[in-house]
Amino acid sequence: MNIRAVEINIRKKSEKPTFEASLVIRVLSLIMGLVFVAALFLLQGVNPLILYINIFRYAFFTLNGLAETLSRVIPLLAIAVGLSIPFRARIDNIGAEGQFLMGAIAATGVAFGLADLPSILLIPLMFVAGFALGALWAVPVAIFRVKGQYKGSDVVVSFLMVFPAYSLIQYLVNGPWRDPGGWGFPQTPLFPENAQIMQVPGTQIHLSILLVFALTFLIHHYLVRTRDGIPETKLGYEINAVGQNPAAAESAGVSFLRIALTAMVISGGMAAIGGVGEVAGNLLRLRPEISTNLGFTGIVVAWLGGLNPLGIIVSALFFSGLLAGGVEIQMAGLPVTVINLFNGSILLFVLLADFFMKYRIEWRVLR
Amino acid sequence: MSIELVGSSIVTAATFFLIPTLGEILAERSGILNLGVEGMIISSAAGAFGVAFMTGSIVLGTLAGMAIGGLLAFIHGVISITFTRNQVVSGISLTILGTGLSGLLGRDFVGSIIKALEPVPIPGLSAIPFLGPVFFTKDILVYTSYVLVPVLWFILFRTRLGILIRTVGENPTAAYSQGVNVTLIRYLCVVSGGVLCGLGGAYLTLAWMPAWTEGMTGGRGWIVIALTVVALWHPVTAFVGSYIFGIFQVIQFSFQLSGIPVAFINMLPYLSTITFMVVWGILLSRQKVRRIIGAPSALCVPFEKE
Repeated sequence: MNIRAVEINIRKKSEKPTFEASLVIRVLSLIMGLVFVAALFLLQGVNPLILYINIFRYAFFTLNGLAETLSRVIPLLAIAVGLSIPFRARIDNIGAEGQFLMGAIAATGVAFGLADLPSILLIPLMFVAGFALGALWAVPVAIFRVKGQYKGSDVVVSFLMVFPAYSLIQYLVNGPWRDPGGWGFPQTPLFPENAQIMQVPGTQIHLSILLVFALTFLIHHYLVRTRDGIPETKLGYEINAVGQNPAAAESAGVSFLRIALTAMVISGGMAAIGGVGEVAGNLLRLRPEISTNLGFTGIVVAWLGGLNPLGIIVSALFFSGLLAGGVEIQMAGLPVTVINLFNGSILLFVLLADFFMKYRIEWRVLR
Repeated sequence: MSIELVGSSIVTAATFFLIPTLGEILAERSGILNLGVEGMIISSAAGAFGVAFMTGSIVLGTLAGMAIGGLLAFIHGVISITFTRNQVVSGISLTILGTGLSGLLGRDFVGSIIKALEPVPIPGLSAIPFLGPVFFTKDILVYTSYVLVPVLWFILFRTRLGILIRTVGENPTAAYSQGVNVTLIRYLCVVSGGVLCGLGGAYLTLAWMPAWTEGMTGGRGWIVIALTVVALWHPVTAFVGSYIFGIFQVIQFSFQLSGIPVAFINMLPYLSTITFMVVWGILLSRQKVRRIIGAPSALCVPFEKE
C-alpha cells in the first residue's frame, strides 16, 4: 500500500481580489447554493431543474410575474441597501424586520391622523415619520454594539426588538385601529385616497420604486463609492475603517459611537421606508401579514450583493424573483418556508467564498 | 387551574429553555458564538416529530433530533472554526437554513398528532406534597435536564477537559502554545452544544406540544441566546434563568383571559430580556466583574494559527 501524506498550508493573499474575481466567486457561491438545495429537493422527490426553470420563467419572463418581481424588489432593496451600511461597520443588525414594521406603523398613524392633508404633503410626511420611527427602533442596536461588553449583544437585541414591533401591530389592528367594517378581520380600514401611493396601472408596482432606487444610488454615491479601493467620502472611509479595525479607527479620532449611530439610523430608516411603501403602496391597509420576513431575506441580499448598493440591486432582483416564483414552489407541493433553504445556504456559500477570496490554500504531496 | 398544574407547566416550559441554553453555554465557553440555535431547534423539532410519527418510537425521534442539531452545529463549526469566517453571519445563515429545513422535514406531518412522552413519577420523591407533582412527576427528558445542570457544571469547573475548554475560550493562542488542540476542543463543544439544542427541539414536539406546526418555536431560540448571557455562562444560573422564562411563558398563556391585550403580554419575555441585558451589560463593563464571572473573552474571535 502506498500511503501519502498531504501537507496543506493556508496563506493570506497579499493582493486584494479584483472586481472580476469577486463577481465570479459570488456567482459561483450562488450556483453552489442552488445545487445544494436542489440535492435536498431531489431527496424529497421534487425535480429541482423543472422547479427552477418554472420559478425563473414566471418571475422574469411573464408579464404578471415580472410585475410581481418588481413590486417585491421595492421593500427588499430598501432593507438590503440599508443593512449594507452597518454591516460594513461590523454592526450586525438583524432586526430590519422590526424597523420595517415600525415604518409601516408610523405611516398608518400619519395616514389616518392627518387624513385631511393633500397627498403632496401627506405622503412625504408618512415617509418622514416612518424613517424617524424606524431609525429610533434601530438606535439601541448601535448603543449595545459600542457599549455592550458581550460580543453579539447587538445581534440579540436587534432581533429581540422585532417581537415588540410585531406585537404592537397585532395590538393596533385588533384594538384601536381595527376596521369597524372589516367583519372582525384584524386589519385597519383602507387608507384614505390621498394617503395611497400611486401604482403603475394594472400592477402593484408603486412609485416608491423611484424613491428607493434614488436612495440606493445616493447611498452608493455618498458612502460607498471608491477610487483605487479607497472610499471617496470621509464618512464612507470612516465606516470602512471602523469595520476593519475599530481600535485603530478610534485612536485616529473616529468615534465608533458616532459612526454606529449614523449607520443604524440609515439602516433603520431605509428598512422603515420599505415598510411605508409596502403599506401605503401595496397593501393599502395595515395587516399583520405585512411581515413576510423580508428583513431576514435582506441580510442575505446584502451579503450576496457584496455590501455594495449596486451589487445589491442585482441580488435583490434575484431574490424578489425567487419570492415571486414562490407560487411555483407551492405548486410543486413544498411549503413556502423552504425558500429559506435558498437564503440560508447561499449565505453560507457566500461566507465560504469570502474565505477563498482572502486566502490561498497550497498543498503538496509528501512521500 | 390548580397551583400544582401551573407549577408543572412552568417546569415543562423551563425545560425547553434549559437544555439548549446549556448547549449554548458549552459552545460559548469554548469561544464560539452560535446564533443558529433557533434554526437547530426548529429543524430538529420537525425531524424528531417526523421520525417519531413514522416509526412510532419516541427514542428514535429524540435521537434524530439530536443528530440534526449536531449536524447543523457541525456546519457552523466548519465555517467558523476551520474557515475562520464571521461567526455572527454564519450563525444567522444557520438559523435561516434551519427554518427552511424544518419546512422540508415537517411537510408531510403538518396536522398529525402523536402520543406525547409519558410522565414517569419518581418513586418516593413524587409523593412530596406540591414539589412531587410539580418536579418529580415529569417525563424522562425533564429529569435529564435536572441531571445535565450539575454534570455540565462538573465538566466545566472540576475536570481537566473543563479547564481546557475555558482556556480555549479565554485565550486560544496561549492554549495552542501549550499544545492544546484548539480546533478539536472547539468542534467538540460546538457539536455537543448543537446536540443539546436538538434535544431541546425534540422535547418541544415529542413532549411539550406533541404536534408539528410551521414556525412553532416562535423565536424562542433567540431567547436561549439571550439567556446564555443573562446566566453569565454558568449552568446553575442558567437553571434559574430558564425557570424565570418558563414563568413568563406560562403567564403568557394564562393571562389571555384577563382582559389585558394579549399583544402586551406577548412582549413581556422579549422586553424583560432586553432589560436584563442592559443591566448585565452595565455590570459586565467593569473589568473586575468580568474576571470574577469568567466571561469567555475570546468569544467570537476566530483562532488562526501562527
